[in-house]
Amino acid sequence: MSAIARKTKMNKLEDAFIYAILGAIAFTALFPLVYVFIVSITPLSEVARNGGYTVFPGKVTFDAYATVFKSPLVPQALKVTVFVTVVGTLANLLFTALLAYPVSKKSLPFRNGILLFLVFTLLFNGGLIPTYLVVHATGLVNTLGALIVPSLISTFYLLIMKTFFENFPEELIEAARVDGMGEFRLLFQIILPLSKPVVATLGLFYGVAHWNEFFAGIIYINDPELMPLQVVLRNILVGSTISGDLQTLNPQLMAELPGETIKMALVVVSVLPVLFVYPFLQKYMTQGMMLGAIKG
Amino acid sequence: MRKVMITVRPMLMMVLVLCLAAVLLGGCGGNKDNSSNTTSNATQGGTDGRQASGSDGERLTIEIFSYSPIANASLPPDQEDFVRQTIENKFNVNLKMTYNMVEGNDRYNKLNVRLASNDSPDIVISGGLKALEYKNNNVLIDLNEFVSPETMPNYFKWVTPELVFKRFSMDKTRPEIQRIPIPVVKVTPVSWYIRQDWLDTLGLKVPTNLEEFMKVAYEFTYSDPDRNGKKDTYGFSVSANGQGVTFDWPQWMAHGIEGALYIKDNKVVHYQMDYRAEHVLRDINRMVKDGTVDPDWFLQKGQAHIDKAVQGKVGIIRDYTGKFGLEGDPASPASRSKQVNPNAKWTAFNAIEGVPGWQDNLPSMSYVVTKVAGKNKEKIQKALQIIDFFYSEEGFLLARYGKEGVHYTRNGNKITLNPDNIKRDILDKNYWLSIYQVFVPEDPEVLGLEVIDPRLTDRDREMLQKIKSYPISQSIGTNVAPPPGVDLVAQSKLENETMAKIALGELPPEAWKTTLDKIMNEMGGKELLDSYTEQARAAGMIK
Repeated sequence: MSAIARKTKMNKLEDAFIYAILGAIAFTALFPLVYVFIVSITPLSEVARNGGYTVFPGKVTFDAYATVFKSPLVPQALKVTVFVTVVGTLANLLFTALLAYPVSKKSLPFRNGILLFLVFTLLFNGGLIPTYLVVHATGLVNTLGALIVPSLISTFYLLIMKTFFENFPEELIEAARVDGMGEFRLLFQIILPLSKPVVATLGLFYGVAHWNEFFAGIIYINDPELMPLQVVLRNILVGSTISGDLQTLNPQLMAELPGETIKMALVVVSVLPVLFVYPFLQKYMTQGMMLGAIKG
Repeated sequence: MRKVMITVRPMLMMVLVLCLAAVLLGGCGGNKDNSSNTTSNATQGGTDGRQASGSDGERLTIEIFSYSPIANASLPPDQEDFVRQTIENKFNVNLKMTYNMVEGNDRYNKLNVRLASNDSPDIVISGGLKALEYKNNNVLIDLNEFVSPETMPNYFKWVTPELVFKRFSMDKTRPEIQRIPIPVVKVTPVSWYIRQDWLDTLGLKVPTNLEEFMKVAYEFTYSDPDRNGKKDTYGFSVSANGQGVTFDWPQWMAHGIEGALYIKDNKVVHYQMDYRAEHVLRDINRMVKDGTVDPDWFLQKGQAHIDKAVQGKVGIIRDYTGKFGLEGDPASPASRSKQVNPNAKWTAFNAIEGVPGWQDNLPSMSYVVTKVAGKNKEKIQKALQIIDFFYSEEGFLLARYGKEGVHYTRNGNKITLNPDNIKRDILDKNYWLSIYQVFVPEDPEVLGLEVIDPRLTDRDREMLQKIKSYPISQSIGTNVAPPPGVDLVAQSKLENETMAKIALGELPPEAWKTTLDKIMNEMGGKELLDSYTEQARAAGMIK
């Protein structure tokens, strides 16, 4: 074989080797997710027979999902969480942009003072009780507002947006001003459309945070009809973390536990929507990796 | 100066307005449409709209911080909630039930945040360990001035003053009591159940001791009792959840351990800290080695062994609910196993005849009142009156079964249930009545009532009577807490691990003595047992 041909063969071998290793790593990363999904569509009898471990189910059934959706409050909680996520994320983005833009302009009076004020909240936090007191005093307890308003602007994301706006080419803004654009129009018609990476990235972060909202749901919400999804799912699952002692001394508690397949269906229900939205935002995320390196 | 014109594109303006409106709406109170079966609500559904502070006209608002016995149960709208209507009319209050969390740490986190913000509910239902924590943090009031057989006559039909003021007290050296117990069913209907049709096929009798039990389990495994030509059945099964061996095995009673935590011959017996467990584990291992136990017994969780019994894969199990074998109840495992095999028949039995296999029940949940709530004495008195109501005949029947004439009919002391109406109004509506049932246990005999479920067959009734007749060990009589410095969790972990390993054959039975010695002498086991004994003595259970 010629030297070149040998080299190509070596490359092919190397490539195959690398693909194999990466494939194995990807498999170990993906397998738990796939496993969860598979168990959720396996009939319970099969799962029980194999001690809770099935890879290729003989039969496929969606009974677990039917049970989950028939279960009290899950459909309602889904609605609540979707509402809070959509509205909350839009509000998040709106208010973050409204604050980030002026603060990014060096000509803002007292800019340094305002920035100091904001960064201070990044480092120091009132804590749980003062936050609860404030939310309680504003009458937001036991309303959906408690899940949206207190976390309206995250300082960290605000600073990201501010940095992005700071790097926005000044010429574009000048040109718009010359055309007689007002500030609001400038923000909404010129700057935000060109900020798709940061808007999509922050939108995803805020959205996932709203979707996963758990602790705020516990302490602020009393009405079962207003409970967000994660709290409802956790209520269903919490019995299965019973300790061994309690299990023996309180066997009646065990009688109410959900089966393995239902637990897996719950996991899929809580993860799937975010998993579904992510691919649409992914191209903006990769663009967003170049944040700060904008080309006008 | 440039004129600042605010001209924004209409669509963006709409989005802006929508966002602000949604945020404001979200803050305006939980008026979200209730997807649960409601038509038009004259009043707002659920508990929103009731202000915790202040009163509606002259009505007080009483808040009870409870838990969901069934995950995500929710009360129906007010028109359908007859328990609420009765209480609110009778006591002229607004009743606020905060129950949306299941019993667990999350619920207490929620409560702690509220307490720290001085926003305390009037009555709190708390578990034992948490009540102790609250007491030690000086958060609770002494209930002596509010609780007595005179002020709560119905409650004291279910509990004795000795239990409330002495045995359940968290500090037996002082007269103050910071909690009062929620009554529980006196005796749990624990029993083993065996496939009678398999016994008949193989010509065997119901076992009455360990040897017979093991023999029957052997036959169930190897002699194809369901005659389907396949070796797909096992004698016995449990669900150990990967921890320990469970208390379902008759081996425990066969070797003198007759309950999980109980008093015998003036001594405290703890099933995980007893040297006799060596023999128990040896015999468990015998069954495991013989293959007469479902091989998934150790890893499976929850009700998996019951499911297998329903599927016809297992011939003997132990059940703690009392409802396993009731063929008249369509939800019972016995009924469900009939759907799999119409010949399936289950018999309840005591595997070691004449020997107790469980102890009587101790209350664990309790009512406590925080100092913040306790400032308003009138409210607390009213709240305790409401609690007392649940223990009266009227309250008990209302919370347990429903409305007279609709969900049951009454003839003297006989209550005959109407399962169809119960299903229609209660069970099919997410079993909402269970939220009120946390107050009262299902023990009609305490009030001298007899409850008849018309669906039960005579055989079912005999089965329930038989289970009632089993002997029972004496409970330890008081909630016990480990002494400070003793790591109960570490001990328990080691005990479970060792038991499992011996049962599975990875360690010899003699290893139990070595391990228990270590736990007793080096890990504080002796201190624990001594402390339990002391606490039992202080409660008057031991001389």
